[in-house]
Amino acid sequence: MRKRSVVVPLLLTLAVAGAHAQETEADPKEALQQLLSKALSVTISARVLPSDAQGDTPIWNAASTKLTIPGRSIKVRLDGDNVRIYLICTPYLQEDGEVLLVAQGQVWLTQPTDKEVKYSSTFYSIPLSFGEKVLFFPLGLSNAEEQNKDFYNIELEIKIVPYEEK
Amino acid sequence: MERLEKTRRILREDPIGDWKEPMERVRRAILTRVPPMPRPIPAWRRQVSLPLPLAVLAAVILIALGVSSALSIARSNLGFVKITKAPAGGTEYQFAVPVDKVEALLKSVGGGDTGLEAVLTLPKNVKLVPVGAPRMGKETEFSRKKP
Repeated sequence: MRKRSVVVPLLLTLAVAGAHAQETEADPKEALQQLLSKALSVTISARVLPSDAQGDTPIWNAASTKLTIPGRSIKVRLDGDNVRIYLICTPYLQEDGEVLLVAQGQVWLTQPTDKEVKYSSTFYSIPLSFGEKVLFFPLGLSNAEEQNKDFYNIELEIKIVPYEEK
Repeated sequence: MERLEKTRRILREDPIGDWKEPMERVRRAILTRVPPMPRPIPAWRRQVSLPLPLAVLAAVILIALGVSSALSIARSNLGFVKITKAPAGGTEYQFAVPVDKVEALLKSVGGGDTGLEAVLTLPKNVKLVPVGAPRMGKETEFSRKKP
């Protein structure tokens, strides 16, 4: 009796899995097309900018474009001498066709005066339209009073567009 | 003089009675009249009188200290979560957790499962310093000039 109670659900599971496999094998092109129709292109650009007093030309920039599907995250890591920044972006499609960006920023920072490593992690959820840019300042954003100081701003820009233009 | 001598003789001849019992009786009588010595009270059973406002103030201070220390212990052991609404309609979540629980937090939010997609290396000569708390938002939220 106990054996039967184990075997019957197992056979049912295998049958369902087999049927599912047959279903996907039946039309892979269509499945791929369906997947690509939902795919999103996420571009993350990183910039190091001097303070406003010194001009707006970035002293360094780099960009990375990745393909993903809604709900699957993209991770970018920035490595510096005294800092390591992670940006994990997970886009979700909303019912109205807009995008909800769920992003996590992690910063590991060592200050020259400290011997300890500081860690901060922040989560954001931002509703967006396609092509709308989101900025992330992992080390904060300088204000007007601090513009004369000799330091750099680091900013990351996130842009999400559909992989296939409709 | 003769009378005195006579009295002395009489007293000498008179046997001395048992004096111990009367003495004991007198001692007991004295002891019953003397109030007993107060027994020393232990420090934790001693009572003090305080004005009511002072007592209330002390109680409030003690409760406040207790609550703040409990919160501080809870924060250091359990961490805290701060959720704020961003102007663009987004939501910002700030977590503070003890170092030994960072890994668990990252796993719980799926960060540990994410494959590393891209690595960008910052220039060597640039030393970055924090100028505030991390911020994220739509480009329109920031008045800063764009290149």
